[in-house]
Amino acid sequence: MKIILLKHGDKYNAEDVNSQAEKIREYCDHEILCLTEDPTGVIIGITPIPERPRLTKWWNKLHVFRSDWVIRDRCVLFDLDIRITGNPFPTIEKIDWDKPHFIHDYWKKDLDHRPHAYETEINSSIFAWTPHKNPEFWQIFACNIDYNTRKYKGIDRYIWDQKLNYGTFDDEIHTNIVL
Amino acid sequence: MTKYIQTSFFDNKVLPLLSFLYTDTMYGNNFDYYRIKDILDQYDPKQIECKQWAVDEIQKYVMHRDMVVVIGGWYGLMSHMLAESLPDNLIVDYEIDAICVELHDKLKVHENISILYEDGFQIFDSVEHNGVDKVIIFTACEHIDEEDLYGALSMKNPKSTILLQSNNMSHIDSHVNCHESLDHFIESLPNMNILYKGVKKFDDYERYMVIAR
Repeated sequence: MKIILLKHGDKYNAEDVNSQAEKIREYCDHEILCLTEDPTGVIIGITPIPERPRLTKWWNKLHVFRSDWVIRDRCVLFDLDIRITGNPFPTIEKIDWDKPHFIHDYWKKDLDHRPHAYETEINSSIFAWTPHKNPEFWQIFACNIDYNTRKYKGIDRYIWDQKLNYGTFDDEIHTNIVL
Repeated sequence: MTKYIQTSFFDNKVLPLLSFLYTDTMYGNNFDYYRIKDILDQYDPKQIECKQWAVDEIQKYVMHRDMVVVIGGWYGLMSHMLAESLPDNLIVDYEIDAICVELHDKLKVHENISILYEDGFQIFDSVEHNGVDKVIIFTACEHIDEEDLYGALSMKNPKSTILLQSNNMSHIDSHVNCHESLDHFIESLPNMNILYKGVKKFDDYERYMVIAR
């Protein structure tokens, strides 16, 4: 398994990556890689963000579902602003790796949003996937990147609204993280 | 309403289209609800003002019967405003979003607009088009990778005049090529003979425009 930390643009810096990696190392010995276009100051391994098509911010997460994604091992991505307070790996490792798994924001079930708000109960602050197994996550997005990035405020709403085949981690994962 | 959009266009075309989309999305899957918002965004007053700015400036460089190409025509606002100003010129509107093409067709009122579901940037490596299409307009430079734009414009025939717009709205998710100033925008382009350059300042952003050959 590989751990991926995404850093794009200037919202987060290398120190955010390095400190999150250090925190994760308390709970696992998997290789941790930074997915970034700017590795300056990052002291863990780097996997470059594909240059084309050029995406912004969190949309770069979708590159990992491409059929030409360079990593073949099972992967888990952690956002840099998620606070890890306990070991999330027992929850992560027991998923069905045939489809990507996301955090379930179960409390959003009770929100009364209209369908065209594209509100979502899934949260990609942590997600786990097997590379090359679910290329439709990328392909549907890539058919009309410009429209999709206007329509959806982030990849969670895109995945939710497109009714892609995903799973969610057991809610116990919330006992080990702070969103 | 503006110099290049009649009130009757909204009454007879835009509002009926929005009504059609609302009804269609109730019972069908041909269109999604966000198209209504996307079309409304096209007619945002700032969008209209910037397109009007483009028409005001480019018509000084358009000769009688020059072919005018719009790349990335969206739902056709730019082409519509050009057609109001240039009734004797063929205006070719390229768009790669099939739904935009379909909905632009429903909005179209001018016979001198031709809508093509193709990538407009192909004209730069086409013997048939490059230099024959006399005036090229692309007002969404912020949506295309800087290197890709540079590469396409590097192939432009110097006989063609091009109008480009970009902006400094880098917080928008779909904007991958914004610039902090007009000079920064010009520096990102291949060396061309600049015929016009200008900045339109709004409360929350700036739009940059260059006309070059």
